Amino acid sequence: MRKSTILIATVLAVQLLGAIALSQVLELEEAKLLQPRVPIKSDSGRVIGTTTVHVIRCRLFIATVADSGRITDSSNWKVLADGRAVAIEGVRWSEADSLTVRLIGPFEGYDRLTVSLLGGKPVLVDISEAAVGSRKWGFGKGTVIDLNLRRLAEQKALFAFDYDFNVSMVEHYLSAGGGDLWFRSLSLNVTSEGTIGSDDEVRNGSESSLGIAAHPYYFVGGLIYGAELFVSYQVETQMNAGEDELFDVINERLKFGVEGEIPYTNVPMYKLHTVTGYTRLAMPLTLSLQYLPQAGDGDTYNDLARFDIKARYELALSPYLILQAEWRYSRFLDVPPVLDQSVSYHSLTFAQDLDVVKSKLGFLALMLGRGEEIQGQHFVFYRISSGRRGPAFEDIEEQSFGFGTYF
Amino acid sequence: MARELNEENRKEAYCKVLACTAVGAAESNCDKLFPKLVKVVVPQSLHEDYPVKLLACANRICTDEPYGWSVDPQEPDLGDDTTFADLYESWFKKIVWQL
Repeated sequence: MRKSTILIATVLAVQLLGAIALSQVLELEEAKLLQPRVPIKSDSGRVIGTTTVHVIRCRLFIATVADSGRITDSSNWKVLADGRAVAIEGVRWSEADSLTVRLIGPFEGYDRLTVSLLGGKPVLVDISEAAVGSRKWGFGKGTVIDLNLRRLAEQKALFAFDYDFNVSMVEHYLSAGGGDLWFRSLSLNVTSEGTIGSDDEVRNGSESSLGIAAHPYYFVGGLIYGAELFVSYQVETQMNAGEDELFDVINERLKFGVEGEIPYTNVPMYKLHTVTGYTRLAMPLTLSLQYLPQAGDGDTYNDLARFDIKARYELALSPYLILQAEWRYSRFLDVPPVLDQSVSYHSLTFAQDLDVVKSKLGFLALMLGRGEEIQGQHFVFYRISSGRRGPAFEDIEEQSFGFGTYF
Repeated sequence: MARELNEENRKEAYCKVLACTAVGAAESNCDKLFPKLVKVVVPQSLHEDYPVKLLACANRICTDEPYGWSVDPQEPDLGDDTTFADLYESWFKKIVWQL
């Protein structure tokens, strides 16, 4: 009788010590609320769709294989939502990270969540970073500034400075992710594109706008493509080289547009990269269409209502050598008799990545077929361009070479 | 039936995710591709949109047949020296799990 009492007491003591030891070792490091996408399966186990669940992802300081059973026992966990206990529907270990555990349950819509393990100290759950699918606004994302300094290959010494500036002031991530469409965000963008030249012969001018854009992504043929729909308020300027008033505002108006990557057009490059073996983004053909209503008197190209179509395609001929083609077409509405109803512009640019100096020359890589990844931040380039394009719509026939960078 | 979430299957799915983002990585050459990924840095030119595309593709590939796994909605952090192999270790392995 006494022996069994001692035995029971010993077992209880061991269990108690085990629980204390476990709670000390398994102290939570951090906890985060997430809304992951999970598959919906039929009775036969086939995936028939996806949905989202609410998960608290917990990271432990340390755990051993022996702890596994206790950690996956949901009764050892306690989640308090705004002070009230919430039932935990499941506990899952991460397969890849032995210190990460996911708690599944109805954790949505609370202001304050805490989680504790084995009666240990409660840890506040981070509910602010639900990422994609949240209502969170970001700031300063998607900033791209592209600068080119080029020397025109003419008799005279002409220089031009091109810039392309795009800043997303705020970005709002949307949760729509069903089917083949994945909405990335709505954003408020400031953009400006223009050329500042050393002479009037250089096509000078700028288009700057403030607008709202939606960015959906969609899947076709196993590849992902992006698009942008936007409405903006645009200010167009023309430059007066050498004069006191350097820029003239020639127009202010709304513009509406859509830009999209055309499915399958990158498949040939994708196949080529598969053969050559280097990893490189195979850009698809990008098409954009925008409409600008009439501004001012409607008697010059600058203020006529117009449709602009723009196409851009890029061939990565080696990891370091890029050929980029651009074509623009503007169709004007209610055109005075003295003006053409449409104008076009095209350019061809050979860009050589400057990282080539760290490895081998791009044209050699083209012949040899293999190379390392392009960094694609600093280029020297040679460009042939011809035609008219907004906002200045001056007739140009240019060859230029220069240095380009973006950050 | 969902595939078991083990290292081999996870690597195969990761190759498909890269292929989905249109990076020229052939999923059929996954074994050959992986040693190469260790030294290939994610180009700066991709940094703007690539995390969003990666997550969208991970959702697309991993939750569907033949895998049927769950995916945490977390985009990867890309640094100047992040390689595609780093992305696998620091991001992909952590966001994919089995319900």
